[in-house]
Order: sequence, then structure tokens, then C-alpha cells
Amino acid sequence: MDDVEKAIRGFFNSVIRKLRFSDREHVREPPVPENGVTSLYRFGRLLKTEFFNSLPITRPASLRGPVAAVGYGWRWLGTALSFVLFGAGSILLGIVVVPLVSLASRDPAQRLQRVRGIIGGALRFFIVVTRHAGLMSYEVEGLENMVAGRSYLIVANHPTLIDAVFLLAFFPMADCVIKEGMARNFFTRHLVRAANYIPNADPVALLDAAVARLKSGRSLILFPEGTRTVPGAPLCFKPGAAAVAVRSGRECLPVVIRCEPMTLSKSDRWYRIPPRRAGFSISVQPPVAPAQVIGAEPVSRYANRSFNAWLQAYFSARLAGPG
Amino acid sequence: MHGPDNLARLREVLAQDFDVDPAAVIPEARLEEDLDLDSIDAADLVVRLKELTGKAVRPGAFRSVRTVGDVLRVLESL
Repeated sequence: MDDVEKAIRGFFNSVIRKLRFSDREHVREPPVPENGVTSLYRFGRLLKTEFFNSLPITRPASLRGPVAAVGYGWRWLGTALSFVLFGAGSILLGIVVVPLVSLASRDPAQRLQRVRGIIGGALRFFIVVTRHAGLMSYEVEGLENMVAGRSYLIVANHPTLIDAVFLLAFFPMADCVIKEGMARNFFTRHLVRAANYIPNADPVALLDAAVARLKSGRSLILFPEGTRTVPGAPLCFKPGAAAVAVRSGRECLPVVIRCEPMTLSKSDRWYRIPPRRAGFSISVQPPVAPAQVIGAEPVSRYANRSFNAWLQAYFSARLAGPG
Repeated sequence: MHGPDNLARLREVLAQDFDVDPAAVIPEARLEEDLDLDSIDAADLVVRLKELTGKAVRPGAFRSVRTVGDVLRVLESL
């Protein structure tokens, strides 16, 4: 009898203990020993947190509401897709289209014309697609300042990664300087050779080639900054573009590029997209000959320097003014 | 060619074509900060030196050049 009573009491006590135990929320759960299932689960949780924490999608506080969030998400995805489109398009042009066109055109002048026409067309297509996808907007003015058939040194400031895309889309027949790596890269070297762009290998050769192209009656696109603008810092023009202008004596066609809100700048990662759609404004200014600015000074280092200073001040003033 | 020879030559070129005070052309002088030469001047200097020595300068040989001493070293290695 005692044994039975003890057993029953013992059973109830253990139930009561359990109940009490679960009542006390602050008591820590005893550690669950790791087995295959729990470690997999923990790994999954870890991965998920890590993954979501590492996602570059940090929505700015100014974005509230589902519509804005969807818009932001789309622009993020669309930006990623447009990079893919650009890369895939470059490869397609570089290893299929351009080699075929080159083979089909015997005459070098005709080949150059065709290849540049195709590159310009592809870039205009890219601009139209990204604009209609709502990734950016742009307005361009002053294209009439460029008289067809004349040779200009097209100089532009360089706020974003895609300035060259705009310039080559609007001035497809102009020469431009490209990274030396592109002249060697398997996917782009045919394109660079067929389009006869100038690789930036050796400064002396680059300077000579740039002046020679202009003197032969072609137009040339240069970014005097040499690289993208450091956001927030004053413009800093390197002396190269001014030297090319002074030595060739060609008219400069200043192109002032603004981007608001800023995107794809030197300090932006591509995935840090702006809170609103980026708006580009590309303004082609009336041409200016170096002689108009520095007088008929002979070609000298002082002429270079004063024209470079003038050019830098010209752009700074226009970028500082109201849009 | 001896070092001092090259230095004298460099002094002459810098004074003639770049208006640099010969007294300032010492091996320690930095081209940009001390002698006020920019990258275009440096490119022109390479061309002048090429003409003077009659030797081909490897493209990019002057890329890491910062001081007068560096220029002399490139000249001696030709």
C-alpha cells in the first residue's frame, strides 16, 4: 500500500514540478544537444540571418509605403539586370557581331563606319531600355552645337560610370580613349581594334595619337578628369585634355553632365541605388577654341596650363549653378 | 655615360625647354612638387631625352619616375 501511495505521490509531484517549471518563463531551456537535425537547423538560421544582413538592399528611411518599396525593389533588380544586359551585349558584339561585320567589310573606312554605327546603336538601345524600365531618366540639349563633318575635341566632366555610354551614343563617330585592358581582353579586343579606339597604354603615344586623330579631321572624346569625379570634392582636371586641345588647335565642345540624385559615382557601389530614379542632364555647350581663351600664344606649357585652368573653371561654374 | 654627365644634360634640357632653374635640379628634387612639372611636361621630357640620347625608351619606363634621381636611373639603364 505504501509503495503504491509513494508511486502515485511521486507521479503527481513530478507533474507539478513540470508544470511549475514551464510556468517560469525566465528559466532557460536546457541546452539541446547537437544532432544532425538541430545543427542543420542552426546552420540554416545562421545562413539566413547572415544572408539577409549582408543583402545590400538597405532601403533609405525616406522610402515609406508599399508602392515606393516595390519601385525601389524593381530599380534594384533592374539595375542588376542592366549590368547583365550590358555585359552580355558587349560579349555578343565583341565576339560575334563585330568580327562578322569586319569580315563583311573590305574597305577599312567603311568597316570603321559600320562598327561604330553598331556600337552607337547598341548604346542607344541600352539607354532606351534602361529609361523605359524606369531605372533612370535623361535629357540632352545643345546637340545642334556640333556641326556635322567638323572636328571637335569633346570634353566632358565624368560624374558617373555611364557618361561614356551617353557620349558614344550621341557621338558614335567620335574617337575615344579606352582602358588598355580592353584592347587585350578576349571579349573586347576585336571591338576595340575594329572601332579603332585609342588604348591608354603609354602617355607619350596617347598624346601623339590624340593630336593626330584630331588633325586628321576626326572628333575625339576626352574626360579631362581622367577618372570619375570624387563626389563632394572640387573638380580636378588633369593637364592632358587641355594639352591635346592646345596642340591640335581644334575647337572644344564642352559637355556638362549632371546626375541627380547621384548614382554609380566613384564612391558608390553599383548596388547602392539612389532613393529616387537618377536623372541625367547632358548639356552640350557652344564650341570654344583654345585661341579664343588664351590668345594666339604659341604652343607652350604655359598655354596648356592656362587653358586647363580655364576649362576647369568653366565646368566648375556650370556644375555649381542651378540645374 | 657617367651620372654627372647625365645630370648636366638634364639640367640643360630642363632649363631650356621647361624654364626650370638649373640649381634646383638635384637628384632629390621631385619633378611635380619641386620643379613644377606636370604629367604632360613629363611626357615631353621623355620625348626630348629620347631625341638627345638617340635611344628607344621602353614605353612605361618613366611611369614610376618621381624625382630627378629616378630620371637619371632610367637614362643610365638605357
